[in-house]
Amino acid sequence: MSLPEFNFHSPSHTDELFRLLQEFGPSARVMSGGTDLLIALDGGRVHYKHLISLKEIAVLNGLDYDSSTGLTISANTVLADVAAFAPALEHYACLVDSIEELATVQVRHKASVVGNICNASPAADTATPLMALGARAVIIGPGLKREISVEELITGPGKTCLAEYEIVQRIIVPPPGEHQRSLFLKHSPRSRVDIAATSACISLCIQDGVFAEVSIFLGSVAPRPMRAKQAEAVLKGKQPDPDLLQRAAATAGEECSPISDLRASEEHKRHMVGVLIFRGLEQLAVQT
Amino acid sequence: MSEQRKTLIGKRVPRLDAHAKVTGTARYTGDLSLPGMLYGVMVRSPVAHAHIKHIDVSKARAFPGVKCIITGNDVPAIRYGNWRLVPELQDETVLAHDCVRFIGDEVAAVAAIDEATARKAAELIDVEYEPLPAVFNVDDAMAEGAPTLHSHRENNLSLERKIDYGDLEKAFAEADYIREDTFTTHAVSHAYMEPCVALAQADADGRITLWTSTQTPYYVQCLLAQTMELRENDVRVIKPHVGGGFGGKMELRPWEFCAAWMARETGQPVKFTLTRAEEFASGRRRHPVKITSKIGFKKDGSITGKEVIAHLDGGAYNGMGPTATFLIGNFGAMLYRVPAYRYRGNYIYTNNPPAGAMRGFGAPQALFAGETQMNLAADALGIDPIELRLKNAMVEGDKIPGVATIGSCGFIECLEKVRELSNWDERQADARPGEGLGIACYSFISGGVFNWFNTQYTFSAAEVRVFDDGTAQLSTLAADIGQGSDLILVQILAEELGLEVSDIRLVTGDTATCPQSDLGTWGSRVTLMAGNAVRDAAHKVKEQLFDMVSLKLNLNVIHEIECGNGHIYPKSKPAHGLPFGDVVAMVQRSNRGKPLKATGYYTPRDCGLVSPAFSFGAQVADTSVDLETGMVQVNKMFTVHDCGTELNPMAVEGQLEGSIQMSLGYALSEELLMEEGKTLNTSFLDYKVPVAEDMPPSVSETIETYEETGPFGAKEAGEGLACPTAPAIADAVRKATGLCCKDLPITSDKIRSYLSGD
Repeated sequence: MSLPEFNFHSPSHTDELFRLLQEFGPSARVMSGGTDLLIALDGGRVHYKHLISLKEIAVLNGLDYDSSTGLTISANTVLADVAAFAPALEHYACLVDSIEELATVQVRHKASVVGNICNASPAADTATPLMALGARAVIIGPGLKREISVEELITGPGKTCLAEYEIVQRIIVPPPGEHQRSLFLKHSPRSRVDIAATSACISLCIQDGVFAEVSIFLGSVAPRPMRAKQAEAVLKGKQPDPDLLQRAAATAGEECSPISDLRASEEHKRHMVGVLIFRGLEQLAVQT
Repeated sequence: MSEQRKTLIGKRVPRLDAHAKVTGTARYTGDLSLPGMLYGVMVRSPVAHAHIKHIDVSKARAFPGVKCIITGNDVPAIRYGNWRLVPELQDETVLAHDCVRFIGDEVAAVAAIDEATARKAAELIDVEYEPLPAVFNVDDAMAEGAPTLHSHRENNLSLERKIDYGDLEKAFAEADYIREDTFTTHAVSHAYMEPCVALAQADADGRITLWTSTQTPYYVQCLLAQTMELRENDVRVIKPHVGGGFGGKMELRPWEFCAAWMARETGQPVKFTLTRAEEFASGRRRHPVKITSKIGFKKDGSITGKEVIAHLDGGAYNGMGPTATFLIGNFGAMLYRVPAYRYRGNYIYTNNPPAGAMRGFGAPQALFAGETQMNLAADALGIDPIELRLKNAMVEGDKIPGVATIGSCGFIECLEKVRELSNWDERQADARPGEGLGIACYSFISGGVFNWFNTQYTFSAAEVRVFDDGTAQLSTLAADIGQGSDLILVQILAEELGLEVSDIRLVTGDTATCPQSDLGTWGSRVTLMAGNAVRDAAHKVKEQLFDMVSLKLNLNVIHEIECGNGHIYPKSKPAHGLPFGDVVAMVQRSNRGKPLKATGYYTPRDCGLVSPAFSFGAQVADTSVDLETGMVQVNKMFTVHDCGTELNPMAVEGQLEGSIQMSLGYALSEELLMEEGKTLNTSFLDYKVPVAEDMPPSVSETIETYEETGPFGAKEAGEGLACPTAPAIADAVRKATGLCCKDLPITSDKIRSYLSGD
C-alpha cells in the first residue's frame, strides 16, 4: 500500500469537527472505518489533503432499538455490531443478511454502516435494505440538523446530497410494520467475500392474502441503488401467485438500467435481477 | 538399539517453516531493510506500442529526495532471457530502448529517500511517445500487413515448435470416427500472496548482493551479471522466504536489475516493492492459447492419430514461452497411446503484457483441450469416458518416439479407483438436470531435461556435512517458494543418515554459500532432481562412515551396513551399532581433523527430450449448476493420482488442495480482462480468486508406484494436479446443462446465455 500524504485529524467534539470541515472544505473527508476510503486513496481514485476521523466523537457512537422509534445506527457503529444486535436480527432480516454477505469478518468489524451509505456505491450492500426499510438519515452540520430518507441521500455513484460541512449523525430505521418481512439477495461470481454483480432487497407485508405494502430496491443495476417502482406496482393489492411473481420479476429486470462492465454484462444483470426478485418474492410469500 | 529401524519415508512430517509462518516471524524480502536504504519505483509505459522519442528526467532529478534515475539510455542495451541456449530468443532489455511494446513495459526507474518521493518523481518523468499501431490478439498479429513488434520476426511469429511421429494421414484414413474441435483458454495471474520485492546492496568494490523474491536464484545471478556486465561470481543472490511463485518468479526481472544498478550508482541499498496493481496490470500471466485438435478413433475406441495446432498469445516478449510452446505439444499426446501425432505450436507476439510460465507450463491449456475432446468423443462413440481412457491409457514402458519413455505409471489404477470413489457408474445411470459428474486426467513431468538456460553446472547439487554431535547440515540452492521442498529434502537426508528431521540444519537460498548449482523451482523438478543430489551426497558421506564402522567392528566384508535411529550398524545385527556422531568423530580423527562432507549432484541424462519421470492422475468433479443463474457449485472433488512414492502425505495433500483452489479459479472465476492491451481488473476485488468458502470438500487417494529415477521412488505432485480440474468441471457442466464450453472460463454469464438460448 502506498497511501499519498494526508493530514489526519481526530476531533473529540462535533464543534471541532465542523470547524475543521469548514476550514478545509472539499480537501477534507470524514472517515469512520476507512475500509473504502483508504483503498480509494491508495489507488489514486480520490484525493484528500485531510482525513477527519469520527471515532473519538462519543456522541456519534451507539446502537439502540425501541419499539416506537425503531433502530438507531450511529455514525461510528460498525457493521458487525448491527448484525449481532438482537433486535436487528428480529426485525430487520434483510439488513442483517446484507451485512453478513458484505466483504469479510475483518472489514465488517472495521467498517461503519453510515460509511457504507455515504460512500454511495451503487453496489453498497446495506443501501438497498435501508432504503427498502424506509430508513432516514439524520444530518448535522454547524448549527443545523435535518433529516432525509436514505433513498434521497445517495444521488449518484460516489455522490450524496451532503454539503461539505455536513455529516450523517445517525440512521433511523422505523419500527417494522405488522407482518412485515424482508430479505436481501446478492449475485456475485464468488460464493462469499465478493462485491455484488447485482443485488436486490424486498420488504413487504401480506395482509388479507394480498400484497399490502411492497418495497423493492435493486443494487448495482443503476447509477445508484434504485427502487423498482413498476415491479412494486405489479404486486400491490394482488394475491401472490407464481404468475404474478414472475411478472413482477420480469418487470424489475426491465425497469432497471444496468451497464455492461467487468462484473457482468447488461443482459446478465437484467436476467439476474429477475431471478433474484422471483426467488425473493417466492420465499417471502410462503413465510408466515 | 533393538527396536526396528524407523523410516521417515511416507511419514506425515509437519513443515519446517510452519511455526515461523503462522507466527509471522518468517522473513520475506519485504521484511528486510538496510541502513540508508532507498526506495525504488518503476516507470512504465502507458501505451501498448510506441517509439520513445525523448525522455526528460530533469524535473524528476531535481525533485528533493531523489537519489538516482535511470532510463534505457543509462544502462547497457543487453538482450537477456532464460533461453540462453538460443540467443535469438533473448528479446528483452531491462529497460526499454527506443520502443515500448506493452502497457507496463519498463521505461525508467527512480530511487529516492522514501516511496512517496520516488512515486512523485516518477510522475515528473516526461516521456514523449510516438504511437505505433498495435495488435492484441493472435489473429490480428498474424494478419497480412500487421504491425511487427520485433523487427527480426516477420508476422510476429517468434517460433514454431513441431513434434511428428507415425503416419498421420494413414491414421486418419483408418479411423472410423474423427472429430476436430477448437478451444481457447484465457490469461490468468499467478496471484501469489507475496508481490515481487527486490533489495540490492553494492560493496565498495562493486560486487552486488541481491535479496529477491525468486524461485530461481541461480538464473537471477547469471542474468544479472550478464546485464550489468559483471562476472557471475560478482553477483550474490539470496532468496529469503518466498510467498509463492507458480512460475511467475523464474526470470530476471527489471526491478532486480534496477535495484542492483542503482545501489551501485548511489552506494546505498535500493529496494523495490511492486504493488498488487502493478502485478496484475503488467506481470507475467498464463498464456492464452487457441488449440485446434483433431483426433481419430476406431469403433472400439482406440486412438488412431491426433493432430494439435496451437497458437499462443505470448504478449510482447518470449519469456518462458518457447518452453510452454513445446510442452503444449508434449501434453497434447500424453496420457494415451497415440500411434501417429503431429503438433504445430506457434508462439505469437502481441502488444499484450508478456505471458510466462505458470503452474503446469502449457499442460493446463493442452489438457483442457485434450480431455474435453476425449469426453466429447466418448459420447459420440457411445463409450463410457472412463472406458475410453482405459482403452488407450499409457502404461509403463510405453514409448513416445523420439520424446520419452514412460517409466512408472499407475494411470489405469487411477482411473479404476476414481471410478469407484466417485460412484461413477451409478451416477452415470442416474443423470439429473442441473447435476453432473465430470472427469479429466493428467500427466506431468518431474522436472525438465532440457537445458535452455545452457547451464555449465549440474542441474542440482547438495552438500552434506556431518558432525560429531550427531547432527548434519544440508546446503542446497534448491528453492523452496512455499511448496515445502525444504522439508522434503531434509526428510530425504534424515532418512539416508538415520537421523531425525530436527538433527539437520538447512542452509539454502544463497548463491554464494550453496553448492553450484540448482536450476530452481519450476517444472516440478525439486523433489526428483535436488532429492537425487541429496542422496548422492549422503551416499558419499556414508561410504566413509561405513568404512569406519567396518573397521571398528571388524566386520566380514559381506556385511551390509545401514544408518538408523541415530546409529550406524551391520544390517543383520542392528543392536551392534555405533552412535552416528561417534563414527563421524572417528572418521574425522582418521583424517587428521578434516571435516567430513561431500557434495552430491544430479543431472538427468539419456532420458529423452522431456523428463526423467511422469506422474499420472484422474479427477472427478461433482458439480451442480443453478439452471436459472448459471452459477456453478462444485460439490466435491475426487482425485486419484500416482506420484510414485508419497514421501510426505501432508505435503502432497497441501499441493492437491492448492491445485484445486487455483484451478477452480481458472475454470470458473479468474480472468485478466483485457481491452486494447490494458488489463482492466487490477485488484482482488475484480480478479476473482476463489476463497475458502468456495472450496469443495475433496477426497483423494494415491496409487503408489516406484519410480526408478526418483529419490525413494518419488515423482512430482506439484503441477500436474493443477491440470485436470478445469476440464473435469467443464465436463460436469456439460452434463448438467448441455453447454459444451470450449472457451475458458466457464462463467455464469456463458451458461445462462446458453440456457436462455441467446
